[in-house]
Amino acid sequence: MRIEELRHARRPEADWDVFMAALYTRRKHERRRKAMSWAAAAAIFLAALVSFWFLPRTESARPSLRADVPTLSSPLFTPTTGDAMAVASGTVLVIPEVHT
Amino acid sequence: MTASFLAGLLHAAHKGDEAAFRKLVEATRERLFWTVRRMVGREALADEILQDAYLALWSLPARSGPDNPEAWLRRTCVNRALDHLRREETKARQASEGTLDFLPAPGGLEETMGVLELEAALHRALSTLPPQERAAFVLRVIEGLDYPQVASSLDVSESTARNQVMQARRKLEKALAALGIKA
Repeated sequence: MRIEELRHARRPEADWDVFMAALYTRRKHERRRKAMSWAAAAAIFLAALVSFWFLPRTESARPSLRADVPTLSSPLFTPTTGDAMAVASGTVLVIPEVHT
Repeated sequence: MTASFLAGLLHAAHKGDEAAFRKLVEATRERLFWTVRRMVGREALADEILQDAYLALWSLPARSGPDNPEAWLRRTCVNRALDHLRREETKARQASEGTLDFLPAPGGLEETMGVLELEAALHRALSTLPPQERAAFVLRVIEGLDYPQVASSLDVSESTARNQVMQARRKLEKALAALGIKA
């Protein structure tokens, strides 16, 4: 027998049946894995979108600046002892009296 | 099977026709399997490499499907087999720091050899070759591809492919002559 004759070698059909079954099983797993990773990516995207949409509103709803107290940037306002002053965090500061 | 017929089957498979993909596999699997099997020497590993290639082909986006699916598959299989052989070669080199010597099997002329014995003897002889030469020899001499096809499968120039086949043939002739097989 010459080496070239090996070209016509055939594998038993039973082996091919096993091969095809394994191929289709792997295909099914691959598709399921892909579907799950797409679902996970979509969930992360949605979560990011929701937090992006809601967080700024929550932030702006906070009483960060009260209208009834002046801020440092209010025009013609020079803080003196005992004045109340709102700062960006929403806290109202009262400048304490200094006893000498 | 012509390349355009196989490309048609792949196109149909990408549209969800599983029967078309099955036909494509059935039309190409035998030659590809033996190519990979002769390169890596293990049936289970050859199956795995072949399945990887088919799954990769099936997962390609429909518009980027190759014009010649069999050539694409062969190239993918050969590349994966070469990667495997190079990894094995590195491991073997690190483990033994020695050379792989060809050990001739006792007796046996080619006329009295069956396919299995010839495959086994050939595998022992092929395992002494560097991966690239082994792949070139299998594709050209055993599978009977022409040099442009061998070069394209190995992603080398035609002259490099010729040179690799020549080198492999020279080394194998020595090894196989001991077994009475004409390469």
